[in-house]
Amino acid sequence: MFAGHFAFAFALKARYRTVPMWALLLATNLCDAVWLILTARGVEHFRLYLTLAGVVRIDLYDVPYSHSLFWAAMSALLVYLLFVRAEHERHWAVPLSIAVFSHWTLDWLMSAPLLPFANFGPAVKFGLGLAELFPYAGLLFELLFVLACWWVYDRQVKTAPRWERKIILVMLLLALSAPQVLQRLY
Amino acid sequence: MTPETKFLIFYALSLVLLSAFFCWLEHRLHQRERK
Repeated sequence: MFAGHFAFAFALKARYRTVPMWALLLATNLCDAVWLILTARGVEHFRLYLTLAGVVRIDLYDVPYSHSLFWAAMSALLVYLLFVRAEHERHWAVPLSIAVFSHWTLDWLMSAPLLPFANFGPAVKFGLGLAELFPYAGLLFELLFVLACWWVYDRQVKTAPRWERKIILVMLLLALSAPQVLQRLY
Repeated sequence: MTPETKFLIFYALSLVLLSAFFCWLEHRLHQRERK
């Protein structure tokens, strides 16, 4: 899931209006930001492969830190503890910790069982595999999720110009097509 | 350049550019809403 993480930041923004958008976007994409850094440094590994149906997929076969259940939960807890003690940003604690953990939850829904528990402990892997087992159902779910999140946000800013509100939806829908770009990179 | 490297670059750029665009647009919407 790619667009869904951005969309969820907008849904949270609707509920927590005083939390800045950059913080929400950073929190919903924290797992991927960490994944990018660790993969670039050679700590974590992934590969692209072509399925029999001719679709390019990502195999996150070695992501023990960025996409593990334990470290995602710990990051969310750390973010909560960090902000709950802050003087002015105390009200950021709950939405940002929800945002951080939402990434793992949404990836768990969509991804094949590739998400590890941690870099230690049981070798169990998590993932409901919606996008893997039922690609069209996965795409439909992400589309509906993006629309629902945008609708929640849009209700809060209905006094703003309509075309600007629509751009957010257009960009989110464009982000939905990111897997199509992936095909061209293979 | 391997497909994986190209993918990492593409993903990082998308993440940064899309986040920056959404921040800018949300800020603009917020300003318009207050007017």
